[in-house]
Amino acid sequence: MKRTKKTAFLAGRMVLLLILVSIMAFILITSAPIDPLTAYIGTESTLSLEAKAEIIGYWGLDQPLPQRYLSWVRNLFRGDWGTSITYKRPVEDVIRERFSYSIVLMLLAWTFSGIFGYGAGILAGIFRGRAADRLIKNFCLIMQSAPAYWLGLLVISLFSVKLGWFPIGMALPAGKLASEVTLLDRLLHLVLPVFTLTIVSIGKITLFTRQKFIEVMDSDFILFAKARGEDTWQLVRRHMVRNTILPALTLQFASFSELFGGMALAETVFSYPGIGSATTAAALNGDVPLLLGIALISALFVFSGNLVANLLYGVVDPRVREDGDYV
Amino acid sequence: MKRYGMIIIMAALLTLGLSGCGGVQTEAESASDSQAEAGDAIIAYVGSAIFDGSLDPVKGAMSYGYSFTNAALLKANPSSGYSGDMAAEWTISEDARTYTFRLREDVLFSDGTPMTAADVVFTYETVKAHQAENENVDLTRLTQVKALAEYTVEFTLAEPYSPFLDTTALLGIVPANGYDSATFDQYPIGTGPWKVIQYDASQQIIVEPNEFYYEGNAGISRITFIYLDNDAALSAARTGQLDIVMISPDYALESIDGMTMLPLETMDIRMVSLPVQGRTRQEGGLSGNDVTSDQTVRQALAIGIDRSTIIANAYNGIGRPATGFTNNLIWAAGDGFPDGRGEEAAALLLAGGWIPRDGDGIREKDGMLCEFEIYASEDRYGLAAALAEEAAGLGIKINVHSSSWDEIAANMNSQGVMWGWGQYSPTVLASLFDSRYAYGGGYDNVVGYSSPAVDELINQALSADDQADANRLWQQVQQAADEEFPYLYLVNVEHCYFVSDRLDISLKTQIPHPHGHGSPIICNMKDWSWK
Repeated sequence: MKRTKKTAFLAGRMVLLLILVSIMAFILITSAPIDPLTAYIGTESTLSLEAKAEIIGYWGLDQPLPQRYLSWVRNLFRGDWGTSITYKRPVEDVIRERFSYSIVLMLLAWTFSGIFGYGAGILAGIFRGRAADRLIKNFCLIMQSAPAYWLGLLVISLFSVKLGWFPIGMALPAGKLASEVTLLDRLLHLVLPVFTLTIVSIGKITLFTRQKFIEVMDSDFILFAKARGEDTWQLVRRHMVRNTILPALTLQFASFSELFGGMALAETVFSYPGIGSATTAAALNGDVPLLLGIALISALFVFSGNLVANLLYGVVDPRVREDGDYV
Repeated sequence: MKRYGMIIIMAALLTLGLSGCGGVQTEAESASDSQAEAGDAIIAYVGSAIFDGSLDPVKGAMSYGYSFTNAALLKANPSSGYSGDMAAEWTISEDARTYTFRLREDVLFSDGTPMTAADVVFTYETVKAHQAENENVDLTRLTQVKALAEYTVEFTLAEPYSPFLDTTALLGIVPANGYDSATFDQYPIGTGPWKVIQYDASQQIIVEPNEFYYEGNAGISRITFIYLDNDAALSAARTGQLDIVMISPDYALESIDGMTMLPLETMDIRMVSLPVQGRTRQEGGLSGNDVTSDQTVRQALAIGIDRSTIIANAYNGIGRPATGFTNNLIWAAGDGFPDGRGEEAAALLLAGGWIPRDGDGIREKDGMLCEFEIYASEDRYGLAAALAEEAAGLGIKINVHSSSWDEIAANMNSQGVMWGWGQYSPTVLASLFDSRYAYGGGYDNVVGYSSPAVDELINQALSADDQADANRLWQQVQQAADEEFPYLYLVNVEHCYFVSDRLDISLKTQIPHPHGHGSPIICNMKDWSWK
């Protein structure tokens, strides 16, 4: 009984979120300084006024905004996401295709930044104030302030151009037919985008974990543990991990949304055909249907990220499981 | 033990990251070995335009006269006239409303089926029915298209319209049987020299020769177009991975081992619109400009600036000075004038009452400074800035803004705007000079130019039944309008590519490139060969 109620509450919250996100996205997109007709036909077009009128009518560019939004919602309920003006294909096809590329990139970068970031944070905590700590801290601060785009270019110029270890862009080797592409090819093309995205998002989790570590380290029960004769390794294993993993998990799952932002830039630099580069293209073309579709899917994605975090609390911390209030 | 593993991994990560910061230098050390391995296949970066949108001609794909998959009725030739492609010959009726095309009888689609008049009718009717999905081929004037015989097609227009011939060179033919809107976005079937064998959205398009092409097979066995960021593409070329790479003129002076920079001839020009009417308040804002509406100012700019200096400063010297539309267009007026006549321009301004007074070098007339704004999109800002520098020498102050098109649209009726034009069709002249379009809110006739004589010439040209007559009338349109200098023509840009020294892109069959964001080089892909 309680469970059903909880599920209904969750579903309601999700629907509310999606409605709000779609309305916000719609308002933002339609008030962006891009004339959709110009984006569509280009600025150097000699199309007749009649043809322009037909385009405006067909894509509904002349309707008042609330009406455009409502007709979009109506179509959505019928399973029609609309047609992307940029790609001239159904929005759901574009999103499905792009997402299949992005999800790999995103999950890898997310996992690596989580694992290495957390590890580095603990390390920095252990060596607080010493060279290793300073190195990690400075590295993270630099990465925190480095734009993903710039970093991507640096990575390309070093690893692809200078050293020639990895391909410069794309998700496949140029000129190879799909049947000839191997798993290794795909992995090689993933390395640099994943690497860039990882080190861009690593700073936050590392610095956070380090801070948390130091806080816990200064507490009385650690002093007590030290007095009992526990060495550093025992301290870390018995106390520090338990006390820092939960906030770190929260932070990492909450960073889903930021990952999206970084991904858009990284994909553009590496010409990686994921959802991020599609978002950039759609935004530049005032492609309302595609942008709305992407906004919805991303919102759903971030929502599930937070949901998973909540569920994981229970797994990690038995106290939470017992009250069951988090889910 | 685990701790050391972690330390090692982190250390490795840090070193990689930090050496990344020092690795800005992008000199290529390994020259091209990969080309040899790739056999006779070509990998090319020609901009991202061919990846935008669909490859389906019905949806406006590749409609600038260089479709590689779907041939049109006519095609532009290197002297920018029209030759038959799918059409063997054509006639235009006296009233310029009926166009009749006799088709080639030996043409097969890339799926092996023959092309007949039914396919042409189908193509045009489909585009007409879905005009809103085709932003490039305008069939709103077409009332009827029908097959008179198996290989004869007749088009009837609602009104006399001589540029219809341009339209027939833009629209590739698709098969009536076998047309599929979804598949054709990526794998169109057509009568052109190439067919798509693989399409990876926003990554690469791989094409191979169409074995049924009526002029025989192309010389290269496979061409791959890749989609990269501009900078990444240049990097890829440096490592020898590309045979052709489009570049902006900013990089024209770089050198790449095994490749040569080719600046290719275009009909692509850059010009500044100068409002010809005085300042008034129209509905929707201010329009007109009291400085540029003085013809003396416009004329002084046109003759006084030195375009070669501008080109040297803005484009590394790549490009040709232009004082009108390019002579490689059959309808261009072609009568240029010498520029860099600073003294003459100064005398003109002086006679017009524009006198430098307070020592700042800027001319004034009745207390009004000789000053106006130019709005340029980001990629054209450098050109506008170079122009401003030249104009300053004449005592005319130009403030240059790098703007979004939205900002440009808000100011285009009252200030200067940097435009780019380059297309086969003379309809651009109607867009620029026809008074019906003046201040229409669109990008047509933004300067507010209005002349009954020019309007009449445009009407005559549009309804001419003979192409030669039409061209002559279009030339008169330019001559009449350019007397008032409503547009300041600056440069005929050249499209720059680095091309592998082993590849011959057949310069003599390249058509002058239209405004095409890098892709026009593929216009004659079937004539390419390895040296």
